[in-house]
Amino acid sequence: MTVQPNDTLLEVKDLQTHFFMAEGVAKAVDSTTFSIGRGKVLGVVGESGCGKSVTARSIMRMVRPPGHTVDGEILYARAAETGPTTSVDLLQLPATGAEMRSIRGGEISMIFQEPRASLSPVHRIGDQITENILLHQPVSPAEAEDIATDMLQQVHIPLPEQRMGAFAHQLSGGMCQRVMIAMALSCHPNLLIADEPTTALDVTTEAQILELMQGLQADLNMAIMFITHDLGVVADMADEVAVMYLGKIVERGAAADIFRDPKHPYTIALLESLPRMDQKREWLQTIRGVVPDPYSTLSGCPFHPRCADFMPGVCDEIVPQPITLEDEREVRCLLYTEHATRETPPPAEEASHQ
Amino acid sequence: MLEVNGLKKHFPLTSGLFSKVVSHIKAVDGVDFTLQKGETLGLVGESGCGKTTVGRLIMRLYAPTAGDINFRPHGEEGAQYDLGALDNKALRPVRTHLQMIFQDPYTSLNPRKTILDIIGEPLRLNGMSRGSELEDRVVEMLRLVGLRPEYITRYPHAFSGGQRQRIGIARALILNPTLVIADEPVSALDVSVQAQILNLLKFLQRELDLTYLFIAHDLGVVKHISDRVAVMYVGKLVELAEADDLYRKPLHPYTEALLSAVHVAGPAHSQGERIVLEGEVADPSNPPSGCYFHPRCRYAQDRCHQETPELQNVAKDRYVACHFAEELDLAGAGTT
Repeated sequence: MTVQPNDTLLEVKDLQTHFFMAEGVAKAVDSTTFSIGRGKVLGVVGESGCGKSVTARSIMRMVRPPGHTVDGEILYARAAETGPTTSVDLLQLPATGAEMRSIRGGEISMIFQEPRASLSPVHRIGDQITENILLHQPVSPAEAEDIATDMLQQVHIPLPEQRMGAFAHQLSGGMCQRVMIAMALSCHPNLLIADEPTTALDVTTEAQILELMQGLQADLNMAIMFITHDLGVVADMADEVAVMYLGKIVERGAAADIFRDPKHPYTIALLESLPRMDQKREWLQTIRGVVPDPYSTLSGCPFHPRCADFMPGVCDEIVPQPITLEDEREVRCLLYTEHATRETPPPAEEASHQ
Repeated sequence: MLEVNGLKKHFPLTSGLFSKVVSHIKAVDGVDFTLQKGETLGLVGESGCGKTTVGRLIMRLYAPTAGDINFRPHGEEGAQYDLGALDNKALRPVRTHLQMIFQDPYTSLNPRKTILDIIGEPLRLNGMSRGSELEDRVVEMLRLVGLRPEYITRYPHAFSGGQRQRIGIARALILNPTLVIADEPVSALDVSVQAQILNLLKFLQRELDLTYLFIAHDLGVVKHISDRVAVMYVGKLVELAEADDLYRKPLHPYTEALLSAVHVAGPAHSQGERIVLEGEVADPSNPPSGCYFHPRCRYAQDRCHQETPELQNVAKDRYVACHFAEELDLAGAGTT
């Protein structure tokens, strides 16, 4: 990756979060490895059910039974008050222990897709933000209130003093999302996990929120893990992109490279299936079949039944491992290995989406 | 085929013990457009702009406050109905020509009914067929929308979102309608499924000679499927044009801002400056004076505060409601 080891803020290694259901074990996150550099934006994309949100919740240690994080490491570079940065494995901490609680919401915070559902309907906006500040910062209630008002100002909420006393139902969706951002940023987190923060919003409101997030990210030198299914938003926001399919990261690399020259057939197919304003096409490309149900155990590459470049006898037998190509791209695909039955891996050139 | 003139829908806002009407929410406030046979008109705008209300008025799920909706179904020579003036009984035969596809495939199908019941219900209700004849029609529809006939006895929970949307489409098309109103039919779906449904809708339009009113907020989707596009803001149309013209060269500042807000999933940003609109959509119960868009418009001048612009025909097939439409040089979405 482009990140220098000492600049890495969060390193996730071989994370496995499984859901133990009556129907079987659903491997929602299945050996996922990635890292986020300090002050960088990582975009995580994929269709519903690919494990994006479960990955985020695993980092926050918020996976509820029947889900369990069964294996892996989540190394977080925690800056001490004085002295050197120490690396903490979040999975080794008790999920409800003091240390994890001080990290969650303070050093790593999260914003959710449904802003209105994530705010308490019976508490005032100001009290909800103040509560988080008091939990994580050694300040008096009056000071916390000042910080909260200041945060509302920073997220461009008009008349912040008055809005402190408002309830969630009195605000629009865009305003609620600003309140969520204010709350998440009130303790100056090192990492913000944004799970589909703009999916429920109109394009114009989305543009406002994204501009706001970009501005604050630069000001606070905060890293963002940006989870979305909107490839357009990722292209605009992210430094690096990870594409997930069935709990695995199938492609990872610099955002500009991935959109210019996608390597994995799934990434290519996703980009091809988008209706684009700058192109005229009669028919959209589709991916055949559907995402298989999470309990199924597919042999070989999990994408092989839907893949346009399926190689019989190879893809349905060998499980692809992540390999690193040029420009530090990581791909989980057998087309780029010695198992490939063709001379040259054709997909990127052949199906170029330009 | 469909002609909408001066369509208005005001919802009363009541308050107090006797539900006194204190004001009106002008959800739709004077909308005019026409639909040609076989075309797709895209209707776009932010949430709360009234686009869904327009769809429901044409379906006559709401009675309009004012205006006419003149509708000429195919298969009935010379017949013309003013949908706004008909009562429920008179509407019944006309309704078979008008069908709707809904946004949420999870809540728009009755979970206690089989696919046969769901898709066959319109036929049964209208007394058009029953028994094995009805079953044959349902099987035919399932094939047409790309579902397997064996699914006929299953319940909705057994299907994925994309399959459910196909069921919703089969139910809408079984009566062989003239006009299909699709209200955000793909916004709840993943991109790969969205592509399948969009292709299906295009294919069915050709097969069955359908006319679509396609309501959506995703401008990429609307461009792909529409022949013409209408842009709505606070109950009024602000621009109406051929899709390619509108995207290449918008004439209304609101259209320009909407287009610039779209994120293109590509490496090179063909689009220019992103216009971030300040503030929020105007309150339809208390709209601003003059042009409703002026508080958010970066080109607004004194005249915009006072005079409300009318939707005017400025070029062939181009309508825009802006005082300065012909003076402004607005940026469109890059077309290659």
